[in-house]
Amino acid sequence: MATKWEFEADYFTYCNCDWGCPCNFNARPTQGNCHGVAVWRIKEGRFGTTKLDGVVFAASYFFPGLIEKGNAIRRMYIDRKANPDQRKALVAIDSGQHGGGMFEIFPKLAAKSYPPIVADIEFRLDGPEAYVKIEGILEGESEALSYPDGTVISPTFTLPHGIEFKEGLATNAKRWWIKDEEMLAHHENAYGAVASVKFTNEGCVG
Amino acid sequence: MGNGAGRVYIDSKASPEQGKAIEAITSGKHGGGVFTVFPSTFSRAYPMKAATIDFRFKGHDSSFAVDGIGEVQSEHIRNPVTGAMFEGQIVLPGGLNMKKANVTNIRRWWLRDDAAGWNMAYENVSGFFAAQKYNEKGPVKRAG
Repeated sequence: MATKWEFEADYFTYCNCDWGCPCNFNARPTQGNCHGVAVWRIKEGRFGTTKLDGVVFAASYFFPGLIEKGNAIRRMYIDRKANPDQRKALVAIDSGQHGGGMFEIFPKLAAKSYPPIVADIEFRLDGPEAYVKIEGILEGESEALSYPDGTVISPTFTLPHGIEFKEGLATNAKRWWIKDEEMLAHHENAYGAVASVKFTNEGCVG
Repeated sequence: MGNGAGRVYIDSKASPEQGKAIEAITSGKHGGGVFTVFPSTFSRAYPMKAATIDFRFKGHDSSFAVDGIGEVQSEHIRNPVTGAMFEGQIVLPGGLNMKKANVTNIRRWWLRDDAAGWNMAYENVSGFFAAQKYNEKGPVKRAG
């Protein structure tokens, strides 16, 4: 039986697609595959009776083709500051057995889910400027999108059916890299987005 | 990068004065955001052409046809798994041609303008519709 859970979080994501990411609009990923990272910093949340306030966690994934075609490789990363109960809660959410929209769908689309890693996660978020680093594994940095003349664009997406966020600010992932098993990549000036999100067992609800 | 080419098509029902006004706006000499920026990127601007334009503004299902020149048909994007209609909007506070737009699927569009050397057709590409107000400063009001 699914445990009742919910959280509100600051969210930062990026992938190998061009700015805006066609996947947000059910289109083909720019390079035909989708490789990315997502980070959540929970402002307030709970899994059953376990409070999740302040917990940071991240996920990496690689889809060799269209997301809905599956066959993905993925892993979750949990910040070392999470206590044992919080770690168990996040592993349970990541198992896909407690609902949660993308948290339920992505495990089903994975051919290989590596076991979660507990590590120090450095995370900063200030408007379009976001940064995440897991020593030796991954790093990503985002800035405001701008026109060639330097004018900041600040495009926001409103996605009523969004499984990741309902309203997000598109950014420039100025550089990112990952080195984790066969997930090896280095990109510059790719898609990024930041958002404030709310999840429950039902999925992304805000 | 520039080096673009463009042509404006105007509905045959426009009066001569209206035609001159549209030609002036799209010349890029009277401001207007995209109406200034785009002409500045053109290495070739073909003369404005009058033709019957059948424009049907129906939200996601909008379409327009420029008689003998081209046609565009829009529809909802669909969820690839469930087939459900997808709705999404993009808000661009600094947008050159629109401030807020709904994203659609262009089921098909084609353009054939032999004088310009254009002959193309596409299916299932990005489309947008918006209600937008313009003045010499460009798009100035977010659509509701």
